[in-house]
Amino acid sequence: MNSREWTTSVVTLALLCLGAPLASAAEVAGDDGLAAALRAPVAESIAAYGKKDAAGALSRIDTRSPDYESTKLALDEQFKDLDVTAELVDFDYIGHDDEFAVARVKMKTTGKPKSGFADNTVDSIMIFHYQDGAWKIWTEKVLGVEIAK
Amino acid sequence: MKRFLVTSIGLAMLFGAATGWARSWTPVIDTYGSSRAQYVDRDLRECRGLAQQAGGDSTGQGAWGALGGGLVGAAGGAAIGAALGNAGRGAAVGAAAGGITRGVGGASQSNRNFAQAFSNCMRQRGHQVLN
Repeated sequence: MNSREWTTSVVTLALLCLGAPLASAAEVAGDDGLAAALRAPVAESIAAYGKKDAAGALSRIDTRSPDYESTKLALDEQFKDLDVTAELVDFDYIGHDDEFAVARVKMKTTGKPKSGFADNTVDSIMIFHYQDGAWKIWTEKVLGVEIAK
Repeated sequence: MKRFLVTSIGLAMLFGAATGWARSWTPVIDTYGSSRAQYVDRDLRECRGLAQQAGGDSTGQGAWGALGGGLVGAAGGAAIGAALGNAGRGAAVGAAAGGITRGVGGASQSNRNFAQAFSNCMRQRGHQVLN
C-alpha cells in the first residue's frame, strides 16, 4: 500500500466513523419528528373535546378505524350528558413500521366538582395510522386506569 | 390518594356469590335499521366484561380493559369516569360499582347490577336494548 492509498483508507475510515453518529442523529431527529406528528392528533382531539367539537375530535381519528363509529356515538352522548375536561399527561413514542405507529399515552379526564364524575387517568397504548397525509388515531388499548379519590 | 383500578378486581373477588346467571344473561338487542348491528357481538363481549365487574362477578377480570374498548381519545376516559362515578347516563353503572366497594349486595342485587350495567353499556354504544 503506497502513501496515497494509505491516506485514502484513513480518510474513508474517518468518514465512516464520523458518518455513523451522524446517521444515528438523523434517525433520532426522524423519530422526534414522528413523535411530534403522532402527539399532534392526540393533543388536537383533546382540545376539540374540550370545546365539545365532535367533528374536530373525530377528524383526528382514522375514518376506517374499528373504533370510529362507536367513538362518534359516544361523543354525541357525552357532549349532551357530561361536562368534563381532558388533558394529555404523558406521551411516549414507541415505534413504527411502514403503516402503523405506536405510542404510550396517559390522558387525564376531570369532571366538574360534585358532578359525580370519577376523575381518572387512562394509561394506554395508542396505535396510529397514516391517512390523507397525516397520522391519525387508529385504536387504543387501555393498560390501566387511575381513579383520583 | 389514588387507587389503581386493576387492584379493585380483588374487591370484586370478595363477593363469592358470582353466579352462572351473570355469565349467561344477555340483553335483547333489536338490530332492525341499526348502523351498529355489525358491532353487536363485539360490544356484547366487552360490555359483559364490564358488567361482570360492576355486578361483583369475580370472573370479570380484564373488565377495565374492556371498559375503554371501542372508544379512543378523551371519549374513553369520559366513559370510564361516568361509568364509575354517578354522572350522566353512567349513573346505573356507577351505583353498581359503588355497591361493590361498600359491600352492599347479595347474589340477587349483584345480578340486578350486572343486568343494569350490561344494558346500560350497550345503550351507551348505540344499540337498541329491549330489556
